[in-house]
Amino acid sequence: MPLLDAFIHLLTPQAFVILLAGVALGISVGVLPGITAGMLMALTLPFTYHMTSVNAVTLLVAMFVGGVSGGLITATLMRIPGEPNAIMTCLDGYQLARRGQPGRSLGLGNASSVVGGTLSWGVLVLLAPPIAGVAVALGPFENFAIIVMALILISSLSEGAFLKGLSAGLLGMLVSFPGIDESSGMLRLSFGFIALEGGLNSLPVILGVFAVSQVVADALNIEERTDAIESTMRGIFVSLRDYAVHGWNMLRSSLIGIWIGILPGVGATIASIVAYTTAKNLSRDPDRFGHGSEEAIVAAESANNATTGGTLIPLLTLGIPGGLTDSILLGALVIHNLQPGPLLFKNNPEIVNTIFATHLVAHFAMFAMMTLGITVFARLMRLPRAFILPMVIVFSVLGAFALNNRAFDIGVMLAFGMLGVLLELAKVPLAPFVVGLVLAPVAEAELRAGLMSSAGSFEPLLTRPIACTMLLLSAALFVWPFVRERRRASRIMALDQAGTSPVNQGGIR
Amino acid sequence: MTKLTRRTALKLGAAAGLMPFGLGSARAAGYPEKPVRTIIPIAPGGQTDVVLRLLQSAIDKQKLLPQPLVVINNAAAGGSAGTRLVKDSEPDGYTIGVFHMGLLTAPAMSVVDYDHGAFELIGQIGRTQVGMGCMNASRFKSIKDVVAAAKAKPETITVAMNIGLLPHFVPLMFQQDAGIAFRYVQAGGGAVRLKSLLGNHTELSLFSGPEFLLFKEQGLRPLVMFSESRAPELPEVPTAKEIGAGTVFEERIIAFAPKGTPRGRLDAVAAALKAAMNDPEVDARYKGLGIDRVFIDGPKLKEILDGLRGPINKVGDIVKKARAEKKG
Amino acid sequence: MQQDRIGRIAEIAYIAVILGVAAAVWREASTLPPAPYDPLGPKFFPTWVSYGLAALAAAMLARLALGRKLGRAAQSMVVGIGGAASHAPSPWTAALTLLLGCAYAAAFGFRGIPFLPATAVYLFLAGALLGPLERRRLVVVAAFAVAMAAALDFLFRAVFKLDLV
Repeated sequence: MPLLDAFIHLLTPQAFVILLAGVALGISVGVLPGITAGMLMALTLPFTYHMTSVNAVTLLVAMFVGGVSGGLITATLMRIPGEPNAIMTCLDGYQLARRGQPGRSLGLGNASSVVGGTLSWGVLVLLAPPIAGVAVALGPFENFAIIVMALILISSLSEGAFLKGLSAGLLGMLVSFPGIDESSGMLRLSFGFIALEGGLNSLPVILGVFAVSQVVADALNIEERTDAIESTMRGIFVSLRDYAVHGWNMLRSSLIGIWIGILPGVGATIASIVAYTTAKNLSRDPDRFGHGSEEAIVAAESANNATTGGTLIPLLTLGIPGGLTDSILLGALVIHNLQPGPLLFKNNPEIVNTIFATHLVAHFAMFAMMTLGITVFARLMRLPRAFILPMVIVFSVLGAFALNNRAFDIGVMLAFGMLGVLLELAKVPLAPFVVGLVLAPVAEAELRAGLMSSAGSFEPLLTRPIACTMLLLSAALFVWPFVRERRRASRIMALDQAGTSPVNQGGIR
Repeated sequence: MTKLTRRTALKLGAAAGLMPFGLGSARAAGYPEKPVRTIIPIAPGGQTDVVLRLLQSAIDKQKLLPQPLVVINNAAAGGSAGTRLVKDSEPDGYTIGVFHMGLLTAPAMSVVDYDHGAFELIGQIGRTQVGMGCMNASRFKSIKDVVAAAKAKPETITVAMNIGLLPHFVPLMFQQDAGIAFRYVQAGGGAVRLKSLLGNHTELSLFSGPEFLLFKEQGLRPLVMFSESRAPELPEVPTAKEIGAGTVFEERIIAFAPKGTPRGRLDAVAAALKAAMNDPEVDARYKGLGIDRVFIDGPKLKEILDGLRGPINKVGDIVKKARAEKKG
Repeated sequence: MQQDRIGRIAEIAYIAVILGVAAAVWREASTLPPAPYDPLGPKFFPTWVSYGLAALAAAMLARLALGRKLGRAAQSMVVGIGGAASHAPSPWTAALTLLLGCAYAAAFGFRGIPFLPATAVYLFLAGALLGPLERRRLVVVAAFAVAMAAALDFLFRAVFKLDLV
């Protein structure tokens, strides 16, 4: 069976070394804030031209998988996201680690990553063609409705500070607008600055708001005698019972991740946010979220690894890249005279199978390396902050620069670092900002493309079944947090009247 | 000994090229003394990016230039940031750019106010034919059906495009020449436009010759090609000229440099690129990508591109007019 | 309480920022011509989002004026700012760290200053700032700075051929 052959090939020395090297490099880059897997892959691309297509693909997919997962470590141990998709892990992973359970925090994150990746692998291998068919059937109106649903999340993420959260979301949207408007090819909101014509890329913005502001926060607290996070990694191995307890969450979050991976232009960051919010909404212990909830870590990490399999589906079946990392993989294929699509499956099944096999094996290699490497990383984190924090800045500067080779992006990052500090001082929730920033351009482009095809009519939003259903669901999702808050308030009142005092007060640490 | 051989190679290269500038080749000796920044306003992995890296690799391997080309991607602002960077760089021969016909269409979209005229042209390093197609299951069986349907009901046939680039401009040129009107829908690159057609969200789109061959498996059918004569790999597809709407337009990959770069240096780079294109491995890869390995030198290319300004501006005016009409 | 005061000032500053941004965007967007093919054009979304943002800012100001609180983010994603202080916060250190970062970024953009010395100097100054100014420590920081700068320079300029000068 050809897929089996691909697996066996991966066990040959050369292929295996390439795979391990790719995963290791990917994890290292994922750990380092600022430098992303996409950047690593872009930098490696020229080297792959001289490799065989099988090896090139193995290396890049391994880096891809390693990169998605590595961000978890810095997020948990330093509260700095190594990759944008680790933003949500920063919240609970770090808190759990601070409560003396770094091993458990990392272990859960790691296990969830593997489960998410494996589930998405299953879907990729077994269901790629039918899912591609579904993706093709979704037109601009459907995509718009789906994105609206994700945008409505802003309301859930703003619990406790609705006005602030919503304003952060809208602010994120405004940040995404300057530059060339995709739907009309026109320049807008550059305020006369040539540099702004390229727009404010989301990577430097997110780096600024989360990484740079965290460095400033740590500098502010430099006097703090931090009981350094213990490097006793007890609990690093997740028991079978844990899998049972968190299984449903893992499954659900993985499905969310796979689904969002399939949508073009959305990405792992949004996947982890959606999974986190869904888990919180469905959780029995929602107040724990943000203070070391295990469910939160599981949800965020399953989802962001699950996007790897999902995003490979449109890439391999349709040749449509979902983001920067995909474009690079596509470029590597093209340079080797390989074009994704049904022809690739027919004429070069060994490439397709190599990608499948590498995806799965890389996840397990990643799991092993992260587990083994964690003590090393934990020790590295104990280096004095005087060494670590400036390095974080240097890497962030490099990462921002390498995106488009322009210094402007570095300035953007620093400016948003300052904004991040302000937002935190004002207790404005940051997650809605990211949601608005990433999703607004996609929503706008899809809606306007739809309107172009319908000659300006909004009717298809109501007449096309999928679009209509999604919009109705969005309306329901919008009201849900209010309904829940109302129900909880009346429950507390009832308890009050019965003479029992409320244990938890929502929204306050 | 090596230096002499290199100098001789450069001289031979320049002489073998279509440029009889003896003075230029003498001055080119010694250049480049450091790597040449090659700015490409496209994200890494794009087709044009791939071609450039092929040539870069060949030039490096065969030492066609004493120093390598360093490829720098800058895809910001739809490519205008990259072209602007080249435009404003020192004309010392150490910064050049590579782009496609987006260089000519950008000013027509008012994104920038310059076109190829703001640069020194090094040459064309690749070319593809383009045409329009639909799905096999479409109601259109030939381009004549399309024209007839469009004439009967103007602005109802949806065309998936990539605004500001050839998939937008060339159908506009065709509709001008054929006296019809399409409805344009923004989609994106080739694969995204195909997806739009596959899902029946749009009916027609522009594709390159190689893309037609590639996507044939998925049901794409070419209806018309915008070339001078029938494409050899698509012999059954008529040209626009044949049906009376004389649209001819090709996608070209262009290498350029800041205005004022010395002729000798331009020639040196052109010679190196041309020699790299002659490498058999590069030839094979071009074939694999489906790009015509046609080199055209700077002056001749300038003539061709200047000639295309008229049609492009005419179409640009249509777009501007459409904007003005929306105001009401 | 000190924290509350800082929080309140920050809230007002935040409201000012979003009002300013909304106004600027709204004004710039109003100059935009319509698009050729879709009825909304490039100005629709920016305009309506600015309206929304301005409305929210007004609502927040109203609540503050009425003496009500604005609520706070249930979770803080950048922990350490405005948190309970078991130690003395060092705002000057934080500000200087940020400023140094900006200076480094400026040097980066200025092609006249090569990567290696700029990075080494930055790493040394930033590291020196984040701890007691003892000679022994400073020597270690300096050594680290030079070593890391050299390693990164090699990696990114020579190996990956990034366009750093």
